[in-house]
Amino acid sequence: MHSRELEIEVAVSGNLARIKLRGRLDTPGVDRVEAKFTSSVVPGGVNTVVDLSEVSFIASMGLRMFIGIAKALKRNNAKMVLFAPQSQVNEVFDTVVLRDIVPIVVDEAEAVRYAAA
Amino acid sequence: MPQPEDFADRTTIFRRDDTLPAGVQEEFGHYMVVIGGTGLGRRLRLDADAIIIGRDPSCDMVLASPDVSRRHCKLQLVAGEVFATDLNSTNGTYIDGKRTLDSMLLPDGSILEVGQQVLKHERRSIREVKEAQELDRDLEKARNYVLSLLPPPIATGPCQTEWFIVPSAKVGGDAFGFGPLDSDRFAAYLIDVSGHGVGAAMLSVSIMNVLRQLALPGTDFGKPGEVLDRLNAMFQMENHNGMFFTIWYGVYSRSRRTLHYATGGHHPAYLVSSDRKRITPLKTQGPLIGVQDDKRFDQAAIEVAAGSSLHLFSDGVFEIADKDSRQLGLNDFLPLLNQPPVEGRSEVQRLYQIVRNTARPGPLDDDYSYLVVKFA
Repeated sequence: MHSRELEIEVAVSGNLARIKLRGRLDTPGVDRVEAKFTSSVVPGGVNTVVDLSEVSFIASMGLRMFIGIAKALKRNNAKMVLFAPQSQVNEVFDTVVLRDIVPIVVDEAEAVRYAAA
Repeated sequence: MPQPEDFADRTTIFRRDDTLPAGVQEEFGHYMVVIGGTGLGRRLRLDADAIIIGRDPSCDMVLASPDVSRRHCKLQLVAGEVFATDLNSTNGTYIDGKRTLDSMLLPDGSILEVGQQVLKHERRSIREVKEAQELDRDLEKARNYVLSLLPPPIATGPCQTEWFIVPSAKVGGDAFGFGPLDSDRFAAYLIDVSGHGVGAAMLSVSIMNVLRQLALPGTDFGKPGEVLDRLNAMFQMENHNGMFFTIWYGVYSRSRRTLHYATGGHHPAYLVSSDRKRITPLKTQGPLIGVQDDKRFDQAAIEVAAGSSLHLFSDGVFEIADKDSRQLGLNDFLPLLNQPPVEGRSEVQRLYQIVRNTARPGPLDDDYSYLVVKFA
């Protein structure tokens, strides 16, 4: 799975965006999806839930993308919630204490509830 | 007051059109570029004459490495294609991971392995290569500057150090430092700026200069939590092009034999006992530096037994893909710390050799930095 290029799916419905990422969130992966991700959610200030169940790896540029978008959404009174990270990705989130900045939950239903709260 | 530009909302950069005028033929050449091992970035152009790669000074490309045979392999341009022939070398010649049995085609973009040396075949515009070489020279100067800021290893005294650094690009975002704060206390730290390349290197140099010169106003550099508090206030990402960094910072007291430490988003450092049987992770729960302006950083302490070693490294050491493209992590790396030393190699050399042999060919994915402090 190492060479899989990062893919993004975006579905916006009302004030909620569902983002699905697949592949490696390394520097080339972030370069590939960041503009689409940002432009889909930040200008409209929509609450955003991100499915990470098929993300196998995250590097610092991936963290930077999430932090940047979460901060931009917060300025627009919107939230971003990540859900279902794989264990190796979750370990990175624990190391950098990402939960202080971006909520991370187990599944989509909880993420949607959290984003709407 | 104007707000700093949101880095998530960048301006698109248009590149100047510098293509050749119509009718002017672009000239291309075949090049072998060193992308792994010693002499990174070294580039040799292939022409009509065959070139010999080997350890012997008479070779066209001399690779001074013990695992390279005196005359290791031959490269030859035939009808616009490059062919590689192994010259009965001891360790073999590999193209994209497969050992060459006879004269084999070396396609554009393929990887040639000669011992630990890794070379890439590139067919490129000669004009572009000249421009790239000019840029390389500038990057080399930047790299030398960054390396010049790193303190030399300490071979004697109560706190001895050794280190190894390999940026994944010409320059990288990793940096570290160490040295006495006074007659009793000794500080060591390692930082890892998000991303790599020139942008990350510029921020790492700024941070390193602040720490080297103890230039954080009103800060006791013997208190790791306080140092991280001040760095966090000074280097907020909104003021630094959206970049943040991780740090491990520790202070050892010789008289008390204690190590105080704090982390900002960094994985643990490890205290390894003299017999290498006990490995203790050292980490506090501090977040990334530069992300939250209202954060305070805790510190912790541990007693240090004589002969213990502190291992401090960046995530580029363990976040590697192996030869089967399997992603490795910290838990794959840690057992290496229990392994015995190797005669004739320092600890940092031993560990780098294992990581390099485990990783797939080519440059490592991220900057590799490793610092060991041994407590007498």
